[in-house]
Amino acid sequence: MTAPTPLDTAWQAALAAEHQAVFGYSLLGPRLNASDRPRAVACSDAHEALRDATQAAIARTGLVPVPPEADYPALYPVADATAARRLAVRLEDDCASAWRYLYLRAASTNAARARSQRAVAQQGLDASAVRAAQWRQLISPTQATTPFPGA
Amino acid sequence: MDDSTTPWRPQPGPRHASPDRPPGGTSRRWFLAGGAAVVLAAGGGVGADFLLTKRPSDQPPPAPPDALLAAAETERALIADLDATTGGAPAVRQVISQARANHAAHLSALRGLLADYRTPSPTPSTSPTPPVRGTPRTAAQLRTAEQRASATAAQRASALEGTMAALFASIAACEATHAALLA
Repeated sequence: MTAPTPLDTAWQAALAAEHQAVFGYSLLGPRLNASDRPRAVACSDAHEALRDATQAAIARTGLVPVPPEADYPALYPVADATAARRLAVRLEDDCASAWRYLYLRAASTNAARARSQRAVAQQGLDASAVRAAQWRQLISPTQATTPFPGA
Repeated sequence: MDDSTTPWRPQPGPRHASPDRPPGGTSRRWFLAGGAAVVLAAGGGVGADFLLTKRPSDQPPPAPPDALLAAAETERALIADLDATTGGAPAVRQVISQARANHAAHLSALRGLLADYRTPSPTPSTSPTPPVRGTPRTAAQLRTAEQRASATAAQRASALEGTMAALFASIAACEATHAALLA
């Protein structure tokens, strides 16, 4: 059995981040104010879709997709609505970092699938950066954005 | 209730450089916008020599990749238009202010990379770039400009390699956030 390449490892890390995001939104959702819940549902749906697509794409290459963890203790506690918003930002930041890292690995190799992985990674990075900014805008409107998402 | 123990990573203001870490992974080197560990790509911006190679001191620097020059020009134009846009609702002004700071951070990072390439001027350090005259824009126009800039940065990223490509990918994502917040 061959060792996973850095590109494979980065791809699996992106999947792991999406697993965490799906879990995290289910954890924070009940703590949110009602006005935030539609946004959280939309975010959760987007992460579930990306998780499923990533899982399937990894499996198609013959790799075994990383499973979700049984629990994510580092995400606790979510004490109230403010903590829930902040956790949403953290989940999105973690996903942005993972997709950006995949982009970097794909841009550093001549592997056959690197080109298509760059496109996927850019989409994942953009989507999480936007969602993170939208959550931050609810917490601190003057500090909603970052110049280098995922870095 | 005090939620200060909740894991949280505030991201205030522009950053010119940052560590690049995979989730749960070990640290890696990343570009330093002003200086030393800058990735050098070949003149066309592609090739295998992007991985932290140092140019021998007796060799002239290569010409900068076109994408790098064009990206710096894009950032200057965006900044000029944001500076020229003085109106807008408070919520829009907040986004404009952040976008202005972010584009300045992008431009600084790009200039840091450009510093390791040959410049067209024989005395670049004494020949500052002439100011770009901006045009006042509506929020909708700014949004369109940010969307266009994001798409262009992503396209440029796809033709670059290594950390420079990743930098452009992050710039594209940042500009996508501006567009989203201006919606």
